[in-house]
Amino acid sequence: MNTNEELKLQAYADGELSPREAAKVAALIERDGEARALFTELKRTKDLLAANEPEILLPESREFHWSKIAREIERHESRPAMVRRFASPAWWLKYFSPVAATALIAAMVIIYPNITDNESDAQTAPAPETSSVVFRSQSEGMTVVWLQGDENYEFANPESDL
Amino acid sequence: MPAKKIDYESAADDLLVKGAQRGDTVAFEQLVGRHADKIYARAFSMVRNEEEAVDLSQEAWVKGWQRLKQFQGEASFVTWMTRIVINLCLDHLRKQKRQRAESIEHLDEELGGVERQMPVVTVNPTEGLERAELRARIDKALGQLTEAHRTVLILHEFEGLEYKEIAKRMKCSIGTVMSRLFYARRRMASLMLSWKKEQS
Amino acid sequence: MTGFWQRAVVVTTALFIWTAAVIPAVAGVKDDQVKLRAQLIWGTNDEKSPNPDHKDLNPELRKKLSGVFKWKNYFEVKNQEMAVPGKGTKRVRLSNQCEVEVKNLGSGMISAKLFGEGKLLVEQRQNFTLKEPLVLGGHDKNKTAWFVVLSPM
Repeated sequence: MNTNEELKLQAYADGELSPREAAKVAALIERDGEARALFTELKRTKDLLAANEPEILLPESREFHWSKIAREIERHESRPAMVRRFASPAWWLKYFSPVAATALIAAMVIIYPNITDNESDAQTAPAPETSSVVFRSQSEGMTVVWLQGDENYEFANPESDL
Repeated sequence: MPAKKIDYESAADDLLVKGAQRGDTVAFEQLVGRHADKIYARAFSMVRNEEEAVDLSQEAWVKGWQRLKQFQGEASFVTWMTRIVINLCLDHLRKQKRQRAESIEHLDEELGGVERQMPVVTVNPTEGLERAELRARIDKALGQLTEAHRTVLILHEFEGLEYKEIAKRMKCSIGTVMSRLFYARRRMASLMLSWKKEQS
Repeated sequence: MTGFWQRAVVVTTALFIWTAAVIPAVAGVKDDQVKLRAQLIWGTNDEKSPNPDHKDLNPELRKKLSGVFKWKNYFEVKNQEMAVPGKGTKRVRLSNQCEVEVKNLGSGMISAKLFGEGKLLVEQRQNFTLKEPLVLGGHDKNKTAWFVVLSPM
């Protein structure tokens, strides 16, 4: 068998031949044992792969993966942090919410002036030249701050002088 | 008119895509969560490097978000995303190849190397194997193919693309696709057989 | 009493209880010292660390890190306990290049500053009353990673 015939056998297995050519190859497989054996091998390999794609899982958590993607999108769009948006609130809510929040803060300042010294939620302030992503891993119950950028810090590597 | 509130967990991809097209990042996050494994798996299968695959799949999601308005729903969302990550991987491999010196590997890709002389595998080399073991062997064998052979095999067998479409994406002729696919399959059969022989 | 007044009484009572009990409870602990553990960890795909001083990480923290990050193995480079008095600040060196400074903001809140070669890299505030660790991390040499984990004690 020549290369052309071999490739035709494969194209036949892949359903890429015209009906006329397919009939010719079918006849070749019928009469030629060598062609039949090669066709069987090609078809078996094709079917084996199609039914058994290796299962590969993302090696990092969804939250971490998403936080890096969100950070990149944000960087490209150069807009404020991507916070979870809620489907369009009622019009009055848009105006009422800031007023209510301001009133609540004012009330808290009056009642507990010392509480405003502290902030109740975790906040991140990266140094100007450092980029970081922050997320809370729900499944592992921890807050993660991941420093990004081209510069790698050799904090823990055993090759570094500790 | 205010948009309907989406139940993100149970919403179908189509609905999440519509939400994301309106700028709803939570809908997009949900899509990423659902399909992150699939997109990563495709990147890893092509570049065979964990770190590069994570970066490429991340880049694909960013591109997906940026091009979301172009998604018309001709194919499923995950198919559309897979095409994006495949194109990124192909560009990445092309860049790597340009940086490498042309090697014997390149000649082997076109000529088929030793596969040309290989006898036909007449027995079923995977008979009696558990599915997990089978998949692991396939993964190992894919890792031993040249980049060009592996890519053509992935695009044909796993993505179900036709010769013409593969040629377009890989920027080569249909004849080259056929030739690479042929030798890739033969090499796979041979690797599977050699492991069967080792085992027995 | 009308339904409106009944609801008003219930809401006012609930607000009173919350104001009287919850806020002073939170505010009352604000000056307490915060005790925490600072660990420097090396994440790698290698089975063993070439540095004999590196210790195996406790399984619980190893599981947490493996659940988020891709590295297969984690080794403890340094482990240091810290007690930060109310409104006070403590700074510890975890390796030649890495230092962490913890400020006790009161009410269980801390502010952690990470320094690389003396330069401030990032600052993060965390509520330690939640009893959850704070993990700061980044890439290290040869596709490995470093982690600074601050855990409340």
